[in-house]
Amino acid sequence: MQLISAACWSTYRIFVAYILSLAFGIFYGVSANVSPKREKFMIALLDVLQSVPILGFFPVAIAFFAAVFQGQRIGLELAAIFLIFTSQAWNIAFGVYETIKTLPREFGEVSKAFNFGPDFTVRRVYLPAMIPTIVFNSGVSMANGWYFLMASEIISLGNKQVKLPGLGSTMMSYLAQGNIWGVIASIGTIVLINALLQIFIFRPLVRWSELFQYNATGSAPEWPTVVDVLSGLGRALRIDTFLVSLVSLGNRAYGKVAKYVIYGIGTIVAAAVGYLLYWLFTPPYPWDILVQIPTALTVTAMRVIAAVVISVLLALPFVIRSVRNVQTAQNIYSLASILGSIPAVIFYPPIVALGGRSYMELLSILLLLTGSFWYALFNMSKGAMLLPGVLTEMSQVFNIKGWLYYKNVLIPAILPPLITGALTAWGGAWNASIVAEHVQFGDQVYSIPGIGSLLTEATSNTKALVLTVLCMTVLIVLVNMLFWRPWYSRSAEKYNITE
Amino acid sequence: MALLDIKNLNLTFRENGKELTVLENINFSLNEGEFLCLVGPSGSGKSTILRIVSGILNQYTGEVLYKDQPNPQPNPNVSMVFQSFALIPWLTVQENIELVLEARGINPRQRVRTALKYIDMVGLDSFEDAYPRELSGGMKQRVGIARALAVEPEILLMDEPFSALDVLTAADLREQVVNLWQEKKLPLKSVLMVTHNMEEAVFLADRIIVLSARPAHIMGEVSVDLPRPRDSRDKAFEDILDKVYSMILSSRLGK
Repeated sequence: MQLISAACWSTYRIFVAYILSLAFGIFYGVSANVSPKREKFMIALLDVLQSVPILGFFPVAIAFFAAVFQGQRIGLELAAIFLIFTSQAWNIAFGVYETIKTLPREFGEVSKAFNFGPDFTVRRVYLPAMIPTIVFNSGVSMANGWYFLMASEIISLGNKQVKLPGLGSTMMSYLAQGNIWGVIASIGTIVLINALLQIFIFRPLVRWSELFQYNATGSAPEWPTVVDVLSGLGRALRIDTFLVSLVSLGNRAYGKVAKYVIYGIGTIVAAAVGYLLYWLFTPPYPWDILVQIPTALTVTAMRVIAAVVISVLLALPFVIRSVRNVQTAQNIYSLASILGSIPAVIFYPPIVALGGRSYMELLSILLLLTGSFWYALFNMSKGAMLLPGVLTEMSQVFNIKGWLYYKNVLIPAILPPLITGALTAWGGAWNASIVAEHVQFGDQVYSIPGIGSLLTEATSNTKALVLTVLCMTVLIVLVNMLFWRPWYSRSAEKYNITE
Repeated sequence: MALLDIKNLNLTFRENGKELTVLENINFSLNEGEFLCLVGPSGSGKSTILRIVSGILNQYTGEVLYKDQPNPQPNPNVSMVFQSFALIPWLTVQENIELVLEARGINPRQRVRTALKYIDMVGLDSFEDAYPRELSGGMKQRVGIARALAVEPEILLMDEPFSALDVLTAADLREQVVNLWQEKKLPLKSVLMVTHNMEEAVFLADRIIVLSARPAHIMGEVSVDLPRPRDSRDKAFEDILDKVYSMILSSRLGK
């Protein structure tokens, strides 16, 4: 009984966050395409937002919501929803942005030649065109929301802990009581919910969304019942009108009033950042923590890199099987959505306790993998599924097989999605590193050096905490800017495989 | 009377700091009741002219006049058929046509009636509910033509409409387009078509304007005073084809 109510609470939070993420993602992704100037700014900002480790950033958000609502339950609810939102929204926003950006030119020409107008174009061209990406990225986002369940339901306010009702907090208390069956039942509930979501909502949606893929061939998919239900619901709630006005609000932000509002918000944000920097750079400096940051970052970066490499390598066999095989790719999508939603963090403390300090280095990489592998798998199998048939046919005709095939055909052809997978895996691994290096089980504490354990050490000193998170974010953003993004655009250009 | 006047049309792109002239001093008019073909080598900027007339492109210098007034952008009396069909993949044949009617604010019942009428006209009845992916290239272009006609334009712009089709399908569709235009049952008055296929131009057009390679300028024009239906094995047909051919050749040699 307790599990059912806990499940309802968690599901409600994840869905509210998901709906907000969808609205945000569509708004942001479309708005970023309006002008090149705005695009540059908005995408850089999104890159930063995506790179800020959610878990490191969470204490700040809680403090904010708790202060605004003076510690009331609603404030904590909102904080929890906000955390889940930050684990779901960026990925959808990026997907929408890239879809609109790479829309075939003829869509724009038809819209202009037949005088569609901006709102009509958004409603009838942009929104449908982004359906495949949204459905696909929703799998990642959903799994992500569940993965961070515990972090969102157990909230530290100063030195007291508040638990929101939900599967995450229930699981935690079972674990504290040593109730193994309770833990297993909670995990089972999460798997069950996600399996049901897959069977009744996402799998039919994925199959149906193939209709909106512009290079698809063969017979068109049927309209499943869930789409009828959802679109009926959407019509009743006037969702499309809402989204169109949301988007056009963004598009019209050139208007004078909107401009002043934007400048106003910009000034406030700049002032806040300025104050934060001023506060950070006035003494006293937390030197004891600061001197540890470079080594800690290096050690953690090594583990993260290992996790990314292993993720990509582990995903490859699955990817090879989903080449031109929509069925397999859809199965991998469902499986990854279900398994990726298991908050693996929960198993981690008892396993570390069982293995002891000596195996913790290895186990921590394993935990990073649970935060990174699914990203690699999702993105790479999607790329493989959409591989042009000509490439595989050509390889068959000329008998290109084995290593030669992988090296010269398959890997280059899926390189752009492979890089996206590795990039997102990189972010996921950093996030998981925050909980991977410092574990408390019972009254035993296990810890290995790294940025995650440094963060735990720094919690008592707000300035040290903010500085550590800041350094970590700067490193991640720098690597994104100097390594991942350039690599991605180069390979996207070189291995462009639109049929 | 001229429906469309193009005066001193120039277009220069700036790419990687280099200036790229696409159109150079283009002057011509499209008369009422005329089928006009623009012929030129691939990449010469022929399609660009159509994109300017249809309002897709609006950075150019020079004048585009519709009935002696500046061409409104977009002009509701102009419609276009695309080389790559440009159908929306998630809409059925009928929905694709209804879409452009909806954009004009036509009410739902009228939309259905008009869409079905034009589907019927291009010979696609019983395919209303098919998706573009389920159709052959020829059928897709029939949808493209039905869509363009459904907004009942005076001027139909066609951008290499038959070049993605096989020879037989193209020949069949060409004849149908000429018939639709000649029957004068539609509001359609004139057709402005772009092609690199000279025989196609001589088969269809009343007048052919020959463009040079990039930057495109007008090499000359040829009128085709042949009765329809035309036969490409006629002596007169071949003579005109030769004339167009030599004009294009001289554009190459002139370079």
